[in-house]
Amino acid sequence: MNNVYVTAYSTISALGVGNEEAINSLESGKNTIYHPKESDKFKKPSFPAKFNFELNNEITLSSNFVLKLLSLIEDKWIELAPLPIFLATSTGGIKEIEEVYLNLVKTNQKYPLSKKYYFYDLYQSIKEKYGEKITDAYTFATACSSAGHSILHAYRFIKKGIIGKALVLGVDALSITTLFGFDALKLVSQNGTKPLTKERDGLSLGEGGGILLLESKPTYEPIAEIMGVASNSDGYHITAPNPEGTQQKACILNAINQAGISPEDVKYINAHGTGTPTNDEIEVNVIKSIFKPGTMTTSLKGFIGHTVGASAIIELGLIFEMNKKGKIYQQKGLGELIDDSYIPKETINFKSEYFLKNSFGFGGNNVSMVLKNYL
Amino acid sequence: MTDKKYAMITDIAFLNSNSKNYEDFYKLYCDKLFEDEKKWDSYRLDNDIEGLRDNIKSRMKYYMSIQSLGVYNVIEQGPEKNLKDEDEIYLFSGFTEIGTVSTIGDLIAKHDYSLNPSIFPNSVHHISLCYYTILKKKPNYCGAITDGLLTNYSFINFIKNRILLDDDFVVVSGEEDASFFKYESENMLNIVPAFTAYRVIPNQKKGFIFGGCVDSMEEIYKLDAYKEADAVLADKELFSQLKNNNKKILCEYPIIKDNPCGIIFRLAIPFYFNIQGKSILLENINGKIYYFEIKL
Repeated sequence: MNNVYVTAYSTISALGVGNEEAINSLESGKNTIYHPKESDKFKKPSFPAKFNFELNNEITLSSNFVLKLLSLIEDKWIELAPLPIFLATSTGGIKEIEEVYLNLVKTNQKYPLSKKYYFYDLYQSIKEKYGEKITDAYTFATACSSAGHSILHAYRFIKKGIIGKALVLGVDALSITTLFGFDALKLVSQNGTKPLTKERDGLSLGEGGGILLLESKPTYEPIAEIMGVASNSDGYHITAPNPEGTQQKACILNAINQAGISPEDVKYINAHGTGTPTNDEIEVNVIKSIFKPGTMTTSLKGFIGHTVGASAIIELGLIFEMNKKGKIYQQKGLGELIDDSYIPKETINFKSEYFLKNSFGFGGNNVSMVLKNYL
Repeated sequence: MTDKKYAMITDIAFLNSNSKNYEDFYKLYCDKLFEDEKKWDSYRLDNDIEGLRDNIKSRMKYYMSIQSLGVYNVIEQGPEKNLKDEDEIYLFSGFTEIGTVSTIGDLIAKHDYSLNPSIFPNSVHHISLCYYTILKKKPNYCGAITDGLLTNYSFINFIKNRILLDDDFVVVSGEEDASFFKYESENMLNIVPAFTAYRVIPNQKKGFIFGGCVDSMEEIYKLDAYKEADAVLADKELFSQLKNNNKKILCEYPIIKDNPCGIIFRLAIPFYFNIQGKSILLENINGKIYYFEIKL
């Protein structure tokens, strides 16, 4: 079995484009949330991605994210090409489909819908720019846990020696469907998300993407090693996790077992932590049933919102930045925490050799992964 | 020289609006529907499948889309009988829950923001597998892979590596119709509800193996895998080119029409109908021809 190292990464989110902007925003502690007027409620997410790059209007916003992410670490991966690419998205090109569809319904005209947009666009855009430098590709779409699946499969294929290296990408550009769908489910925070606190009243949606370069024989200095990735299903409810957290717990324990470590070795947990009353309560209860008090647990969604299918990979990128600084960042003025023996009240200096990342999606679709920090 | 490691396909189910079980599809096979293009037009498919809710006891069935109901039924008919908790289930669909996406799109077009909360989750791509695991109380891994018109290509990329991981897994595939498609201008696709599910068992002496990819049919004709094959399973385009060949030529087109996951049905055909001997499966993607060797 091969080891699987992360040797390059980057992100796009409300914190900025690339690692430097992300860490500077985290350091400054500035609140990036956008509070729309009632009339603009479904036009933009609460945490819109920052753009300091020119958008190509011929392709979807999701594809713009993908191409920008590839360019951000191009100096690292291009010399290793050809590479397979594991894509993940929840919304794909729905944002653009909505705009076009609206117009078509009104005018009863026709348009090359299936060719121009939808998921097709992600891979097509990559092929058009990079040609043979990218080999195999496919797109996982399991709502909020999508990027967890792309990481899982790249990890397993490298571990088994089927492939030697891979690019993993997760992106999501928010659409009206997503914004007003979560609103219909009454899951959206009224005042801005405060995950893992007693004041939490829902999630705030964000957008963006993340990219990882994975290698079994690292060409560059390893940033982290993926030690274990597990996934299962709650088999309980379409939108709510099982209150007992049975399968979430099994998923976390499976990832820890694969890593060959014990729960005591994990000192930091980056929770899925959406900020909804039920999700956070169940996840924290599961964590408390496995890990001892003092296991630092935070959610990054207070900084970037819930970036849906891209959340796992964006948050991993931000964890690497935190590891580099030797810090765990917390939002300012968080309020009362669900459990202060696990959740730090403010930003702290902290480093853990091993850390856990959770990513839980609709329908009880769970992914957990354990990584070893090399920074 | 090491022996080739094949993967078997078992516990297969096919389903569309005309044919509901093995006997129905076997009759079509015996009647040479898959071999005779002239019969394709008379085998018409509707945009609904009757009876999909019949076996579901829960009231949840009234919230499920055709896509979710179809996926539920084919897993139940096929791989469920040997399904273990550790078996991974993979859904491949070009458009997944496109009917619900269209419904929400229609609401947005009318500026109607009173979305019923039970509708939104149905727009999520893997939701059909969620319904299955919830109704059957299953903890299985569930992944959905969707790439629109490139989903056949995604399947090839995925399965050629996934069968090297040794453990069994389940493949499910299907599409549903939607008002979305009537606005299509370039690819006038006949997308119909049609579903398949089956178990893949790697590390076998017989079964299928990914052969590779070549640039032309001339290169295919030179392959031993082609020369030795008794049957050729081809996509609609290649089927037309091959029809004067001496081999048995089959195409899945009549039972799924233009759904962008034809290769997933095609790969199961020799196993479903027990086509003994050697076969070769061909798929033309943007001028490159991908092939699988099958030995039964």
